[in-house]
Amino acid sequence: MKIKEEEIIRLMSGEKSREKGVRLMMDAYQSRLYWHIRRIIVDHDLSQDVLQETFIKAYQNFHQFKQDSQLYTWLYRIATNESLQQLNKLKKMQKSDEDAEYHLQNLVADNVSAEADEIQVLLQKAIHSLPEKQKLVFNMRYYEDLPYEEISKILDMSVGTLKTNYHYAKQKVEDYIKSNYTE
Amino acid sequence: MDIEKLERKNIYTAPDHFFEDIQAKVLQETVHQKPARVFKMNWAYAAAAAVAMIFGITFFVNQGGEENTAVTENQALAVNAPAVNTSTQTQVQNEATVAYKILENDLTSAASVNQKGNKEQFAVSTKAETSAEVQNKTKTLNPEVQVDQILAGFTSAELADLGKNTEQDIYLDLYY
Repeated sequence: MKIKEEEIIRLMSGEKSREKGVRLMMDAYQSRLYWHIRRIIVDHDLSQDVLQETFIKAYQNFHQFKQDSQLYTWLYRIATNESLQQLNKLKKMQKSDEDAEYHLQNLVADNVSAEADEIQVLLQKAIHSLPEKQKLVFNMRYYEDLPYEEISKILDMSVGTLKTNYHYAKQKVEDYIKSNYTE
Repeated sequence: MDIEKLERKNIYTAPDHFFEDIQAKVLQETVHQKPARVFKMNWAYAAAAAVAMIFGITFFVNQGGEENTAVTENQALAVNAPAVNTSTQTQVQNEATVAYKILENDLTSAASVNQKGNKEQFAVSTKAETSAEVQNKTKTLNPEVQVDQILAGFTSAELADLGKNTEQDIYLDLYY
């Protein structure tokens, strides 16, 4: 993975090899980033727009990328910020945060695939009942299995705070499922 | 319930060929996008354009100033016009008076010449009476006669010239 990142950075830095660099970067990260965005925004069309905007911004601001962090951490950071902006727009359209939460939970029900288990759907609805930071930490840790150190770089939060947030998030999700799951 | 034991399934789906399509779109928006043409500013041309603009504005402003001056001059003339007309009228009146006096003098001198020619035939007292009568006659001449007399002082060529300068008012009779 490290070797691939170095190759992408090398290709992106050269003017003639930039197109190849963009292709390689998207091949490596577009799927992971899309599902990360999709779990935050839920709606496919909006997620597509956010993913597109993420790569465009990465291309335009590649000269600002400091190579002291990993490329995928930087891309996750852009994708998360773009997703949160999209969520804020959604909240502004709703009357209150509760309405936005309710809207997202309805979106989950509308977007879920036919093969999905009820408990999996409940899990997603439970995640959308969480506060924003807990939601992000939970998604990145539970679904993407990112190390706390990397999540710390993406969200600008200490590892201790992240662990606490994840712990509380997990408890809330379990409580939500218990109270809503019917076997 | 422990969610850590649950299978971490993805409950959402993406359309087919979604990732290929989005890659093409991103490339279209980034690498394949034609950069906007950026014109480098040539300082020499910019300075020349600035100087030309300054000259243009100065010329325009000055032209406007001259027009204004012309307008004010015309206004001044218009204001002074009645005074000029008045002076012209006065001048015409003076000329008429002078012409009348010249005519009067001529007549007086003619009378005095006649007095000299008849010196032997008429008595001194009679001469005095005659000259007095002529003077009285001259003084009592009505304006029409006076005009006739003035006109008589002009030659036919001068009268023809005066006639050219006048316009006949064809509607004049309508008012009488």
